Amino acid sequence: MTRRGAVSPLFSLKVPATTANLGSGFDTLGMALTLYNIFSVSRLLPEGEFTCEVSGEGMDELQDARSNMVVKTYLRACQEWGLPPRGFHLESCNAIPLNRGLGSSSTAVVAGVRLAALIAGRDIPEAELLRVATLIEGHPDNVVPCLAGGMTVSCWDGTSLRYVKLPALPDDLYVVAAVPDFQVHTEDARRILPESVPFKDAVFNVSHASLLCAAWAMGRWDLLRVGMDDRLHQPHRARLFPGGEEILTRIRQHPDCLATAISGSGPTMIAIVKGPAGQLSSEMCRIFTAGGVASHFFVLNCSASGTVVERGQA
Amino acid sequence: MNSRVKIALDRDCIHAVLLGLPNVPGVAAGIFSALSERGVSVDMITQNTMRGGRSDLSFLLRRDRLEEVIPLCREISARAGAQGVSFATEVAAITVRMEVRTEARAAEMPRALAKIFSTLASAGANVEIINSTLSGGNGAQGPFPAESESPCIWVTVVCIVSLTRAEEGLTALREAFGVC
Repeated sequence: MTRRGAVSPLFSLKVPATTANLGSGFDTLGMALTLYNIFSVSRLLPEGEFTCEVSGEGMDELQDARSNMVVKTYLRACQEWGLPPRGFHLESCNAIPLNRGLGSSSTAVVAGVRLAALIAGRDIPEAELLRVATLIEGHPDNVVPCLAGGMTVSCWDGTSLRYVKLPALPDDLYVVAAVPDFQVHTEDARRILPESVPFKDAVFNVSHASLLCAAWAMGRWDLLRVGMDDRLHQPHRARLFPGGEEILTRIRQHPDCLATAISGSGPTMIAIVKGPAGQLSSEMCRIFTAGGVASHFFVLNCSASGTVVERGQA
Repeated sequence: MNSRVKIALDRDCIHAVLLGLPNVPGVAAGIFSALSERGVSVDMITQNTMRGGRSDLSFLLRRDRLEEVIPLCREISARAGAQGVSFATEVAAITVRMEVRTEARAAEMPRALAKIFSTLASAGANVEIINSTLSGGNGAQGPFPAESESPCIWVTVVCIVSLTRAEEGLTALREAFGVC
C-alpha cells in the first residue's frame, strides 16, 4: 500500500514474526505469527549503492545502510549465487519488537535473501533461499517458518537443510506474546547455556520434542503442554529476566492455557491459548510488572502464508 | 500560577496500538465506525507520523471490556491492513485539568506543563503518552473563535504512566499543585 499519489514500490515484502524453539524444540521448531515487518524497494540504484529509511521499531538504530541487516544479507546472497549486487532504496516499516525473541532479525535475513532473487529476476527455489538464509542466520528455526509460513521442523548440519511444514495452528487457538520492555541479545542467551547436558536430559528433550511434533501433526492440542516441556535451555534462560520462571510455571496452570514457552532466546514469553485471551495476557504482564519491568502483549494467530511478495509496476 | 486545578487517576483504562496502518483516506473512518457499531468507548486517540506510508494509531479503551475489544481490534487491524495490534494493560491515565487566564496563557502553559512532567519524573512515573487539550475562555483557539466570555481557559493534560507508579505520580502532583 502507498500514500495516495506516492510511487508504488517495485517490490514489497510482508515478512512475519516467528516464535522459535517452542520449548523442547531447541534450534529446530518454529512458527510464523500474524505480526509483520514490511520491506519495500522503491527504486534501484547503481551497483553497491544503498539507502535506507526505517520507521517503527529500531528506527534509531537501523538507518545506516552499511550496517542494515537486509542490505548485508542481500549482498551475501548475491555473492553466494553470483548475482550482480544492484543497489536500491529500502523502506522498512518495523512492527516486530527488536531483540525480544520474536524473530525481528530473521525478517531482515529473509527479506535480504528474497530481494537478491527478485531484483536479479531469478526464480530460486524456496529450499535454496532457505539454505542461504540459514547459512547467514546460523540456525534455521526462525528463518524457515518466516519464509515458508506455518509451523516448521528443521534440521541443519551446517551445510544442508531439511525441513517439513506442519499444519498451521487452528484459528481458534491464539499465541499470546507478552513482550517486556528490555532486550536480550541472542549471543548472551546462548552464552548462558551449558557446554554439555546429562544424558537423561537429552533423552527427555528427544521424547518431548517428538511428542510435540506428533501431537501437532495429529491435532492433539491437549498434548502441547507436556510436549513443550524442556530441560535444555529454558531452565537456564528463564533466570535471565524477571518473570520468566513464574510465567512458565504459573500461567500454564490457567484453564485456557495449552502451553507456555520462552519465545526464541527471550525475553518475550508466549502462551498458546484456547478461548478468551485477555485475562491470561494481563496476568502475564502483571508478572512482568511485579518483577519491575513494563510490558505489552500481542494476541496472534499462526501465519500460514509466511513471507508474501507484492510486485509493483516497473 | 493558576487559580483552579483538578487531578484525577484512571486505573481502568487499557492502551491499544494499531501498528503500521496504511496512510490512506478512509482507514480511520473504518476503524472508528467498527468500534462505534459495537458501542466501544474510545478515548485519547493519537496518530504517530511515520515514514514509508504507514502510521501507528493508538487509543484508550475500558478495562472491563478487554475480552471483547481484543478480538475486535484484531479484526479491525487485519481488515485495515495494519502490521499488527498491541495492548498494554499495566497502565493508568493521570489527568490534570487547570484553569489558566487567557491573557497569561503563553507564559503559563509551558511553565505548567514543565511542572507536571518534572513532578511525575521525580515520582518515578515515566510518561509514555501525553495528550493535551484547551477548552473555554474568551480567546481564539486555533481557527476557532472564543467559546465564552470567561477570561480563563481550561487546559487538560492526560499522561499515560505505568500502573505501578500511578499512585505515586498522583500524590506527587497533588502535593505540587496544592490539591487535596
